[in-house]
Amino acid sequence: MTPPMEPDQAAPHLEDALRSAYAAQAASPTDELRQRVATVPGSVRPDRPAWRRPWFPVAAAAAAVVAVVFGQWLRLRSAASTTPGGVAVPPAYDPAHPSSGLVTPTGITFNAIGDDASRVATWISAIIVIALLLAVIRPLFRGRPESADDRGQKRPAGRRRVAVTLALMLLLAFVATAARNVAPVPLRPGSVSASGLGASEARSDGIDPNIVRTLSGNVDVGVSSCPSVRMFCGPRSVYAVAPGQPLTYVMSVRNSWPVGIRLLGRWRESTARTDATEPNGSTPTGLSLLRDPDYVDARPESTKPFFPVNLAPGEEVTLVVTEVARDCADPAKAVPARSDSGDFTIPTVQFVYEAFGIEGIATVSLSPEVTVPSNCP
Amino acid sequence: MVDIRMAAPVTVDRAAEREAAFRRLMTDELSRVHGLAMAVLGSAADAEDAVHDAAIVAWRRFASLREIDRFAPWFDRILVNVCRDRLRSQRRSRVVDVSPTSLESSGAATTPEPDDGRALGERQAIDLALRRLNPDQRVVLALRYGADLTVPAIAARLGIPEGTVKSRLHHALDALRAAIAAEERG
Repeated sequence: MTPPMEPDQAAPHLEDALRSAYAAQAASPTDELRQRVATVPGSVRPDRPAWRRPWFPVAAAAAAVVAVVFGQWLRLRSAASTTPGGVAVPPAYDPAHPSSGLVTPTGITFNAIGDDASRVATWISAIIVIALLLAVIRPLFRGRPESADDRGQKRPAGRRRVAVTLALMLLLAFVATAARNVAPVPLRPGSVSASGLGASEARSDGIDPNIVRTLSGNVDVGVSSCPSVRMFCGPRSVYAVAPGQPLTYVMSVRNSWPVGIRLLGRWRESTARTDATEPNGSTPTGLSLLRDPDYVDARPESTKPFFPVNLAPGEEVTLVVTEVARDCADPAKAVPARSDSGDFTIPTVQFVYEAFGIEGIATVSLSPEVTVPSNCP
Repeated sequence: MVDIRMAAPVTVDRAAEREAAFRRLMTDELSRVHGLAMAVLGSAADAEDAVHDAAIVAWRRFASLREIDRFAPWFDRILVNVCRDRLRSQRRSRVVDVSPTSLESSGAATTPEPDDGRALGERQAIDLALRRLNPDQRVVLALRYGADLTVPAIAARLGIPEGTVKSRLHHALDALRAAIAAEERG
């Protein structure tokens, strides 16, 4: 039983009593402790950060090469844009019904195409690349996490970590935004265009996207190549088809980027118009590819269902666009000749592509312009 | 002996130099850090184990210490964390060592000073009352009154704001008063 302390003495003298108690505990370290501490450096291996170990740069480089090669292999292992000889072609399809080639971009990286196995493998390669990037920027986060700061409060490493992270996020956002705004559309009109199934009349009063692009939208009658006073004249195909009847037209697209891209299909939700002034009288049903790329024929028996196509830089692929006339299509309606420029929209078709694992939408001008006589509002 | 804290910052690169520097620093600081561990843990055996464990941790991370003149606060921080872990571990296991042997090993009985009986009784009461406090309170009291560190220095060693240190000190003293009163009631 300890002697009692006077309550009125305990409070005022508590701090002094504490100092006294701690001072009374003072003891020198034993020789055993000195010996134990002295053996620590010889018996314990110091930690080394992974990124400073000799194998790390070699492993990082090897992993990067594997990831890049694997990713490229995934991109290029799919079928080419032509059907190799000796390979059975898919069964014939009915262009009047929805078929392959209409896609909705997910906008999610590495989630667009391929079977489940290749998708998972591609994700894994992407994760490897991201992990390597994190390993590269990790030294930026090194501060003095173990050193005591006499000023107390937060450690410098914490503030620097936040600052570097914010700066990197801003930089990435800036670069991504700039690249998206500055980069040209990868798909351009190719060298092949033709009318197809359902075409009933060819005219020369269409809108020529090339001339419009040259003029940047300015009115200049002197540029007109038509015999009339109209401007921007180009070919125009009239498809006088009944509701529910299919129509096809042929166009080719070319990869204008210096890197390979993958054409995924036509944008399902596209509101692009194939007619410069009239409402569209048809609904897209899909895309198809030519069985023989050297023989341009839009009939169903000469085509095969679309599948994603890899396009090397400068390579182009010929596509057969299939549509079905809407209920408001009226084959008996006379399509008036255009007498002036009026208000028009450049006829276009919008495609979904994938590059570097990221999906995008490319608007490709269409020539000849496609007109389906209709009573659509 | 060279006053390491007054020396210019040294960059320790090579392994041999690093090992020699670590041994030298530990030798110079051993008495002080042992006293710090004693103040926090109140047991000579626990303090020696804690210092040894902290030395292992410190050696493993020694390469991350860029300024060797900051070794003392850097090692104190590691040691305090080790001591706090040991205190928490003891609380979890609900083992309260109040044996006479423990009290002797704490120094109260082995290093008697010329004092009257009431002072000795006060120290024993404080020793027992300290064991009733939680680890954070024991740590902050030991750093303030045992190691005689300032509030900013304690904040640096614990990695917490100075205001938190002051708050913990205030609550620890209140808890200590209550514990002493409880000890007196027996």
